[in-house]
Amino acid sequence: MTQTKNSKINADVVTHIKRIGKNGEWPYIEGREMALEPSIWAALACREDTELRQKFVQVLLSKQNADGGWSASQHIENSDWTTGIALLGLRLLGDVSNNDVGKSFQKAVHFLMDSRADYYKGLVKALYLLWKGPEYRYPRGWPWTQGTFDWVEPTAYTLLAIRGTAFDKEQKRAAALADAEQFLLDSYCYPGGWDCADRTPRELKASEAKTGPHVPYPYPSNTALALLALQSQKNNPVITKGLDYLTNPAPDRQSVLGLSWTAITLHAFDRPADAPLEKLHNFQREDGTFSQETITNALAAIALTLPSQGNPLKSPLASFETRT
Amino acid sequence: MNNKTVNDEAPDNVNGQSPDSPSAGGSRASEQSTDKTTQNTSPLIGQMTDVEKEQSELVAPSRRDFLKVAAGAVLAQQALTSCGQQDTMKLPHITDEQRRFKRKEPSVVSLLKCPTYADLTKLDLVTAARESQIPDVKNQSVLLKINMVDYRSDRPLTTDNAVIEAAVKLMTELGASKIVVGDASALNRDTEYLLEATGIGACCKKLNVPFVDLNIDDLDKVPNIGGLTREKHFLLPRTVTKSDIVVSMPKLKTHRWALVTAALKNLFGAIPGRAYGWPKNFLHVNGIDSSVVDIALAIKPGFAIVDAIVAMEGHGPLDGHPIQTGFLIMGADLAAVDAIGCRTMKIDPLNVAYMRIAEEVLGNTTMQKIKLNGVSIESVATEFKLPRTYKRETSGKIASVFEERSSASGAT
Repeated sequence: MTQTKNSKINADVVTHIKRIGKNGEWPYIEGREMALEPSIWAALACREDTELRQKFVQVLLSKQNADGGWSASQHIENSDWTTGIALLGLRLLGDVSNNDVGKSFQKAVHFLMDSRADYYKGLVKALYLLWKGPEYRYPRGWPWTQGTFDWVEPTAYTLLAIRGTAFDKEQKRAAALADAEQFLLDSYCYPGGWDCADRTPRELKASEAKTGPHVPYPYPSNTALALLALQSQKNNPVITKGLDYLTNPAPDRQSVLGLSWTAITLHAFDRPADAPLEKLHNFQREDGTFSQETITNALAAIALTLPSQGNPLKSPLASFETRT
Repeated sequence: MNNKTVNDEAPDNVNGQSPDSPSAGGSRASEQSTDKTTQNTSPLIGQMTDVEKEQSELVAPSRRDFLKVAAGAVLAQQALTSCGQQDTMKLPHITDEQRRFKRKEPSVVSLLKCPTYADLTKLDLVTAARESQIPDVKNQSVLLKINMVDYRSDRPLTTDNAVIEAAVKLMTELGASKIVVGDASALNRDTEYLLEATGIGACCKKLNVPFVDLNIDDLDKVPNIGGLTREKHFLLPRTVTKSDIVVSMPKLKTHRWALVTAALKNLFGAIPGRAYGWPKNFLHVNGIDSSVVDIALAIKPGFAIVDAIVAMEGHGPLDGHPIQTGFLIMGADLAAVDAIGCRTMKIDPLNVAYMRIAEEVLGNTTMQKIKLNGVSIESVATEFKLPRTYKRETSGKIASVFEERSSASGAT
């Protein structure tokens, strides 16, 4: 694999991504309605284009809800899971010298930290422990939609967005973020990797994996997101297992999305990413794209530019308060 | 099918409950039911709510809600444990307003013996579909809503490609102007991988019909006319709202939380992940059973073709095992289709909570109101192994088994 080859392939897919976007927004699939999630990954893939990046940030600012969060669709009244990923986009692509960006970031952090289940104390905590047993811990991560449970993907976005910024220092927030990390560590699949959230207690994971009824089935994208969100825990055995899962994927488990996430993640953990990048090439179509989906194309582009442009998701991520 | 999109005249919430109230699927009954012998009124008294069974964890909107729930749970759990009392099925209170949606006329369901997928070509599906009250498909756009929940190399999770092919040919012969295959996988976001691994992508390509990933389709706001859950509306994929006829095409399975998954439960998979996540957890929090019926009322499916040639028994929808059953079920009344499906599994539809709601709100589940074409139920019926979350009692009743701990990773 040469860097030149990567660059050519990437140029084709980035050209496609730029063509299907409009004013800093992108659809999930060409020709469809614009949406926040594909816009974030597409803007990140095109991050060397300053004008496009600025337009995207303006879109983010304009779509922020009054409560500080974002919504996945104009039809949705409540802020939802897109808040974490939007905040990540703001962190990676926003200009800190812009006061509006700073205020927006602060509002979003406030929403994310205040909307999650609080830490219960006293009688309520006692009742819960009585009901669920001493091992019980209430949801520690973030949900897809308000009032639901914590899941790997939205939790990972939020951790990636906030960890390493000035906003993770305050005592309660630090504790909440640590608990969210622990939630990810606890919800791994045996014998490695992550699905949406495997809530099987640790002591049962091995036996259930062997005898059922629950058969763990991790996904490359969830595994990658969890690992990226846990970069501060590199020595944890769960991390090693997750990286091993990505390094040795089953032959029938390879796809553009999976390979792109795998390359980005292995690179972030200083593991060789050549193998998934080589395989990624085999999926390129004649028109230069890898997929009909914007997110998949954008992640492929980000993966292919790891050698030349670096890894935007590698810790330490852009430190929001110190960027110039 | 424009009548499925936003309708300002439709009631936002039939029961008048605040959409912000916690666990509305269960608490509606406590506000409205006067028959306490048949209705469990608290989400935590009697049978545990779906989400409690599913995850044994709770996100509470506020401390006050949390306190109420926690206290109720402790008392209920202690009472059940100490008395050895059996759970009773929790059903929402149903209003006359909701009952008006129920199908008035009798239903016709076809039960077609088909020992193997290769035998599908021997069936006269056009005649069977017409006899099963299929709506007029001529010059209509049709969405074949298949079940592509996930992929396991050793388990029949998805609608078989042979059934998809047969359905496409059927709709073509009946004169459909446009046929689309679609689904919104519940857990795995990598749709292109699923299409490749299951062979559904190649199948659609061969048949020259597009596959639409309903998870990332454009969205339309559709009122929740059923009002059994707290949702005021659903965001549905535009392919669903704009198709003239939606055909539900599930794989027949036992299901660890709903007990049975067939034509009605398959409609969960039309809910888009981009709005509700992977999994669509709000459906479980709202109560699976009420959600199933609300979604059916919002989507208004026109027909169902159930793949029960190889079905799944045990801890479905993901961790069960294949069972050779050898038949196909078709019909326009999805409640009736599922009622027949239940009986072929030797499960009384009365043991399935959403079937009991469906009987009141959607369609016919009793044999007195269903005309069965094709073979008899007895000729194909097999006792399915149940999920670990249910048990057969000596009386024949199937009861849910509360688990102190359970995994939510298969929340579908």
